[in-house]
Amino acid sequence: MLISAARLVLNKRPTTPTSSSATGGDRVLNKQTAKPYLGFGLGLRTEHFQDVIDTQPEVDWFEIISENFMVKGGKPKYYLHEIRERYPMVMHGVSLSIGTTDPINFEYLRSLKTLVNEVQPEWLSDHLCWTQHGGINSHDLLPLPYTEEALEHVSSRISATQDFLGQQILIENVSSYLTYNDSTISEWEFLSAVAEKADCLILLDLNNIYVSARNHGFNAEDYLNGIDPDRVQQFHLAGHTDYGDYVIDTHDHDVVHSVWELYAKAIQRFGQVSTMIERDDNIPPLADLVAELNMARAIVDTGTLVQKHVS
Amino acid sequence: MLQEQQQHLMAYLRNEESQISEHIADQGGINVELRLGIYHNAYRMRLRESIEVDHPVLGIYLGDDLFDLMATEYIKYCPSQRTSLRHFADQLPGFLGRQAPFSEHGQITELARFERLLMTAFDAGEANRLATNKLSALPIQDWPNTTMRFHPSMQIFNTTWNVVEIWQAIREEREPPPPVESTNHWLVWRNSQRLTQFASLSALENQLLKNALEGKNLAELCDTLTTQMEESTVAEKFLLVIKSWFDKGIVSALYPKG
Repeated sequence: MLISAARLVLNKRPTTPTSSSATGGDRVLNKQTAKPYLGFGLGLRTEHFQDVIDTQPEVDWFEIISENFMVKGGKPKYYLHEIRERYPMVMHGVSLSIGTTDPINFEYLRSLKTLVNEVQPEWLSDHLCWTQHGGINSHDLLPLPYTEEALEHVSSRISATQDFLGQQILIENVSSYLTYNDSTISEWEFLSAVAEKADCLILLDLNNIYVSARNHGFNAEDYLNGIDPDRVQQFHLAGHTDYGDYVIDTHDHDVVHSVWELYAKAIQRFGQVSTMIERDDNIPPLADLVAELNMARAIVDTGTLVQKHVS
Repeated sequence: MLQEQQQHLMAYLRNEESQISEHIADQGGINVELRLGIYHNAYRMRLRESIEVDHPVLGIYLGDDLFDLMATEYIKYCPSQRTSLRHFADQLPGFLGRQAPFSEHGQITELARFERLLMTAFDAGEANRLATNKLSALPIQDWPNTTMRFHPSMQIFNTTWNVVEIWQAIREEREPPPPVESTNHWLVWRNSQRLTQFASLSALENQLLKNALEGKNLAELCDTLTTQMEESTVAEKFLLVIKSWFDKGIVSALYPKG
């Protein structure tokens, strides 16, 4: 049975900084690329709203799903502001649909800009994909062909979006399950070319690289080596569901060993990059996610993946 | 080519005629049909889950088979045109009201409408909530022309079925009562603790609130009562009703000049 690809679907850290934490007075930068560095974050989920306020966990920052807070008020907005007062935030969208051939959705961009003004995030991101066509939204992150036509189309739309928002955005690689016949270059070559042409930044999702590598039969390390470190400002980590012949990006499990290994390699190549764990289904207690996040801290601190910590 | 590919893939997701498989590479490993099937399945499951999460009581009331039928048909006829799944099922009550077999059971569309009103109250905008003393502090000469503004979360639910009783029974894991056609009025709002509440409204309160929402001033609201009760009891009843609105936290402003 096929299982849903479950992606999608919503300022000051008060605790003592750990050795690899980014908090402190001045903005911390990646020593290698001079990019802002936030440390280790989590996706902010409804289930943890009250826990975050009550326990003020050792999390350096939170990432919100932008669309979940494009509402007028009530609990979502209340918790957003309460938590924003305590932690740095970044905004992560799922509906920009940067690759669609539909006209740019300025109504959506206006809502996004309003939320940016409200949240004052450290940065904002969305995906290298398309989600809607002909005015109909699939609410899925649908893949693009890696062609000259798509490169021109997507990069010009990212430029227009950045102009409208008045800031650079981060574009994330998605998990994918199919390849178009007319693709002429690899996904990483396409992502790099888009980032260069549009002058945008990259959110590298290491789980997505792993999932797509398995589904398409490429080497995940080739992907890492094909990306310019100067463009990478954030990492995503997440779990997936492995069906043997293929892998689906479900975000309903812990991060697997192979993705931790890829993370360790990514740290070697890209240096300190703000890292967060996404969990969207089968959501465990907040403390479990904080413990999982500490594995990322340990990898950065030691420079290696410590086997005994891996379940 | 890009536009054509997107058109074909979207048509495929929506079970419409599509030549998308001609655009997809045979990479070895799993076949093209399975690769496409992952997206086809994800599209349906995500939209279905959105309806289920937003209408938990409706889902239980319909049972698995009817819910599946409803979700399948709604996804087919009312594809999402919004960027947020929050609004995907905005048209669900109307759809149920015209689509058989659901349209043959009026309580179903009303149940969906009630659950959507609860959502509207949940994340409606913020506004002040005036305490009763704001009313008593109003100079007596200002009373007649004063109009009221209400909290944005406040909704009036007028229904011809006993759906709130059905909703409550299911929420409390009791056997729902049989559907009965009867005119009911309900007030739905979000309280100061950001919890969504609802309360039964008498026909008189419903009329008063409706008039107040239309911008009628206190003198005009009072007139509503004089046509329906002994003049000697009007003032007391009127104050009682208005005070209950302040106590619920649904009055956000008073405008003495109307």
